[in-house]
Amino acid sequence: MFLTALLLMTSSLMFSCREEHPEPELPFHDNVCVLMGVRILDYQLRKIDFVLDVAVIKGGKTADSTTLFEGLPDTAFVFNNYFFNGTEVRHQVNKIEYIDTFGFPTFYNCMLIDQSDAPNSYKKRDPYNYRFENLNAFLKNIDYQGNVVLSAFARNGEIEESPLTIYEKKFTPVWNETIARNLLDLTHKTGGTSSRLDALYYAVKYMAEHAPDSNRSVTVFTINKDDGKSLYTTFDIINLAQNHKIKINPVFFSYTDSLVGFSSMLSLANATGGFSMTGGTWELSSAFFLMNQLLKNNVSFYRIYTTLTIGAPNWFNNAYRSYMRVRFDSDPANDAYVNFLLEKP
Amino acid sequence: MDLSTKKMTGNKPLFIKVSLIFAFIQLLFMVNNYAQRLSFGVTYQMTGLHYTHFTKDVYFSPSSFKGYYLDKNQFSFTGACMNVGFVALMDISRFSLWMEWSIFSDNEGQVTKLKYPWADDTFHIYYSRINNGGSRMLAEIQYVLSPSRSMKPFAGFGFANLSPIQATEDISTKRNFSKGWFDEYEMRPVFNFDKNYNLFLLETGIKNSYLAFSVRYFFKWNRLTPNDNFYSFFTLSLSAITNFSGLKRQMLYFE
Repeated sequence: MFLTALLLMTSSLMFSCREEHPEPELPFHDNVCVLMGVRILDYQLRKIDFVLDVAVIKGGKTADSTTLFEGLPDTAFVFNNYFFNGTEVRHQVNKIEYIDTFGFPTFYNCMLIDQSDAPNSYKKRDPYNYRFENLNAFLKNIDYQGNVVLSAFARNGEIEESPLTIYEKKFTPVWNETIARNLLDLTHKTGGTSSRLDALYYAVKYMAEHAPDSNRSVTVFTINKDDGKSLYTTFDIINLAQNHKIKINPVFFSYTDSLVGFSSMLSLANATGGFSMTGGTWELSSAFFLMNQLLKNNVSFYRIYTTLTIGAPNWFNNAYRSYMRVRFDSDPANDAYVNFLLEKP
Repeated sequence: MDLSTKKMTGNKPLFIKVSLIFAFIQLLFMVNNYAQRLSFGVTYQMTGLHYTHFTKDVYFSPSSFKGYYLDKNQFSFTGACMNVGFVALMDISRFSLWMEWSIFSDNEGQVTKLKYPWADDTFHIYYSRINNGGSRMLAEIQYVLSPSRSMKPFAGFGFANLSPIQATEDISTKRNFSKGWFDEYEMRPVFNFDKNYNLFLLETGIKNSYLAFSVRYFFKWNRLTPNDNFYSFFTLSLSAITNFSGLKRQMLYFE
């Protein structure tokens, strides 16, 4: 009798209370704008007609809840008018279209991470190591959609090889612990100056030599501008990248031009067909969920036909850098920003 | 998923199940033939020191995209953990077969210290605490080392299966968990405390016909893969048992 009761009680408790695995989350979910491309239609002394291709990501904390923003009104796209050399530079939106794309079936990407020491400590800009979480989110969601290799750059800093360290030296189509471990360790390896141009040159060269000739790109996550000691110039990198059809995608973890040097990097993106985005590490977090789609060029975007007018002719200016903000509601704090560069063709 | 892991965690082949049934029947025959005394009792145990050895010093969260560093060897002392249950005890000469069914409540269970890295070589410390409760079945073979004494020293080894009813996890930046985040899912997949798990057991203590005091050491090792973490804890055990039948061979209970 006792044994029977014991068996009954035991069997009643023999079920498991295993829970479903919750979907991992990122701490923030801001809307993010990604500049997919800039095309100059007409470049005159006092007037520039151009087209911006901008993908707008609707922020989500999880990969499933992060989508592309559709149906934004034309009034949501607001350009910044400013004074340049004492004359006003104005923008006028002529037309906005929503473009669907299909993109490439896969990608080969080199993640190039800036490990140089920031002038004002990087700790202040990313105190909670959201950069790691963002990149880890991207890695965890690759899932055989593409192939990626991890690298980091700094000159005379803490990483193994100056000016560029390429970890594992092989592409991976899926999250693996070794890459994630290397990424986590990079948290402690900031130091030295930025060898951004040299590192980009070597990264493009590595991609040319090791990645199959199919939708290749280098995504550079940058917190500092080049230290001026690089052997290679922007022109060298553009030449090499264009020869091998390798796109360069700059991701700026700062809004401050004097820190990250927007113009040269945007020029690289314009010349090679890469995308770019700007923001803090937590403001960009949603974009990392859609990084796979961005690298496959598989995102729908807004095509904004715009005219830029210059109050008085400026004979020497071959490029204008400006920005556009996308307003989602009446709160300016929710705006997302797009940095772009208009270069004379 | 790693196919080798999937294979190892799959259903047992039929011949193993049949073998286990035959082994159980054989055990009944053995008890029938050789048991010299059958006793029943109750037991109360307090869980104390946990010792865990992690095979890796880095851990990636399954519920967020965080990565943590952790010390490979970790100790945690838990206070209000208890285990009460019923005991069936069969004596065969100096050997005893100790079978136990109990319910356990581990309200201040496994605590793991995690270091979340910030920039510039600084860390933020988090503590993970897993509280679980459920039922536990235990089978153990004990051997009396010195039968001449009134309180006989003994040693034993055994096997326990734990079936949790609930397992929750708290995360806090404070060791005393005065504030934090509750019902998290960070370290639970490491220990698998929310599903059935098995433990080995080593025990030593003293006992007579009515009482037993002992120290038990439960441990889990290479349960799923060679890289599985080593998890263990100590308990203090107090049992009261009845002298249910005389010290002679009897045939009452399995006929």
